[in-house]
Amino acid sequence: MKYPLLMGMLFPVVALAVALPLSVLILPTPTVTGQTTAGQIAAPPSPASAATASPPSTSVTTPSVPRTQTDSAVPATRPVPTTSAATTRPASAEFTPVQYAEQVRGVIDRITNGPYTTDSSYAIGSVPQDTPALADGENVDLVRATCSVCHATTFITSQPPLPAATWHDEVYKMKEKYGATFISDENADKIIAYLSAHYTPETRRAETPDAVRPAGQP
Amino acid sequence: MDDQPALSRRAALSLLGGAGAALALGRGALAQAAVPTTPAPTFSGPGPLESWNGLGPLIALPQKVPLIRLVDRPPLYETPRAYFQSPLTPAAAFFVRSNLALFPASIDLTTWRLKVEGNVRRPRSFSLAALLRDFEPVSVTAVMQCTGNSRSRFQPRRPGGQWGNGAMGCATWTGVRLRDLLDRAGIQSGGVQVQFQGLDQGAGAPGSGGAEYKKSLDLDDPVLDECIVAYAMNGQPLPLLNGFPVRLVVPGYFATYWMKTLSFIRVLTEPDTNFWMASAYLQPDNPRGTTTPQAVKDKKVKFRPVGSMPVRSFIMTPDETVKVPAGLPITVQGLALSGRGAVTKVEVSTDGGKTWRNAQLGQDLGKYAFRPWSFAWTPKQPGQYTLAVRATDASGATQTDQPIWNPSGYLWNTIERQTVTVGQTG
Repeated sequence: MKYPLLMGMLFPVVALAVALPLSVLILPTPTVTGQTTAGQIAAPPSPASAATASPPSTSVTTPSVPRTQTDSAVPATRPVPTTSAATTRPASAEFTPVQYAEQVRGVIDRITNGPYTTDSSYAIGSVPQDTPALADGENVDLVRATCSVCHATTFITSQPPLPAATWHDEVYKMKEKYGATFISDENADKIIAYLSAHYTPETRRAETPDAVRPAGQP
Repeated sequence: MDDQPALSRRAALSLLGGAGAALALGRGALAQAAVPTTPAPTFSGPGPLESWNGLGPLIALPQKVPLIRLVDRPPLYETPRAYFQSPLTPAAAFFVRSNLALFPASIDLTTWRLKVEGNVRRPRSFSLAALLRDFEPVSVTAVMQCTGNSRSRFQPRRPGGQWGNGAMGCATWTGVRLRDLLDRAGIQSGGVQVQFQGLDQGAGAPGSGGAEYKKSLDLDDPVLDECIVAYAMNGQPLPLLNGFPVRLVVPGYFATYWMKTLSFIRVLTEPDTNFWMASAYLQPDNPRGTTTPQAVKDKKVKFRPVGSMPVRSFIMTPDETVKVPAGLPITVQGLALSGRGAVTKVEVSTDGGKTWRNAQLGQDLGKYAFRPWSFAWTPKQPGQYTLAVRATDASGATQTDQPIWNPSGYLWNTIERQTVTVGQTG
């Protein structure tokens, strides 16, 4: 088979592979990053290549749902949980709270907004969320679920090793001052026990290279 | 795309760019991305962080250049050292810090209003158009610095955003005088404080610190006469992440008061007891804001809300990536700041702080701005040198080596040092 013909036959496959978000192929979670990464890699910024290289993956799956400008970003794969406190507060008419979207570790990226209009609305797209893994251990799921109601657990992993007494004070500060009233005393103690087991000067271990994996492995 | 008739391999690769090349090269290209490397550390301690900047990946937010990500939600992003080679910090490089995760990502200016309310004769509500049209625009060049800037230097370490030195920036802010807005509303007698609130929300229970972010200044604080409700920084609209459409500028004061997306100005008849005034952003009641862990444990420390920034100075070049040839003149450069009077003197040591000589002060952009300084230095012998810098401000305060300690990791301002290797000339 002649080479140009071979390429002609293969090209639709290659084009499809690129047109699908790269993240679907090589990365564990489909994210906004996948789109924009593909868009950046496609060298000639012609309208045609831009259109094919960064398909709006959400509109493929939900084509009938019209999206406003601020909603156009792919929703966070882990939406920010809200408590009753947040839902009972009336939404402000004049603004939309920020959306956080998962991002692949270590990628410098710019999450894009939809096309701007000339009205009086000023918006940014979603803000990248790139949360390092918590140390594996007893109650890690409780810690992740509880703490991430208000903030990313990056607030844990970015801390220096802290004494258990400091972690105790921090958890109770969240409960008593920051309004994390949904944390029972029992759960607070479990969270403190987890943090003490992994994040004190005695227990904190250097990070494992969980962000760097051999190609092809999940 | 499928129906394009004759696309050569070359055109296809060109169209697909790097992605096409990676696919064409297959395993080889992917293998290169998979070379196992040690990930950059994301925490330090229990000793102090040594590096100038905090630790974290560089990540770009909307309208921003890549910044050092300390925490992703709420956003804590630090400005890299390289952006401090001039006294004005680009808006796109300005650090980002929100206390609550749900800040506005969309503002509709047909409905957005800045309200002046509380103990006033005529509650007022201003559109951005009104702020632009009905008030004299004024400008001030001022440093905004996070109260917890350099928290990672503390010993023992304290929880919170583990900033290096990059939670600061300086811009020329343009907007409306806070006084003009208060005058339009007319403060009634009996007011004691003025409270500021933006639109940030958190998931905490209503009334808690985790639900809303509010800050107050005393009505008799002279800083109110300096405050600007700014709609521009360095001649540009504010990025949304830095407070579009307007933020409060409190020259000389820490950034905690510089309310983003300022939407409520309230005159209070009682001192503000909300969490962000009564429990957070408190410093020991002395100018350096310092105490000891034992004194705190013994409950012997009197606290007060933080306010003005103590004098600081920084070496920007040379940094740790520079090796200097002996005998070749170089210029040591940096910035100084103080919220307590203009920087009047900057001194540099090339022997780690044993002897000091005056640096040359650069462009004066006003007493609230970064003051650039430079120092000509010709290292004579090869070896390791430790540069140090200290500044003095108009209040007479000079930086020292005495460490700062307080429970929240605020007001760090000790002498900065930079190790420089001087090599042989050959």
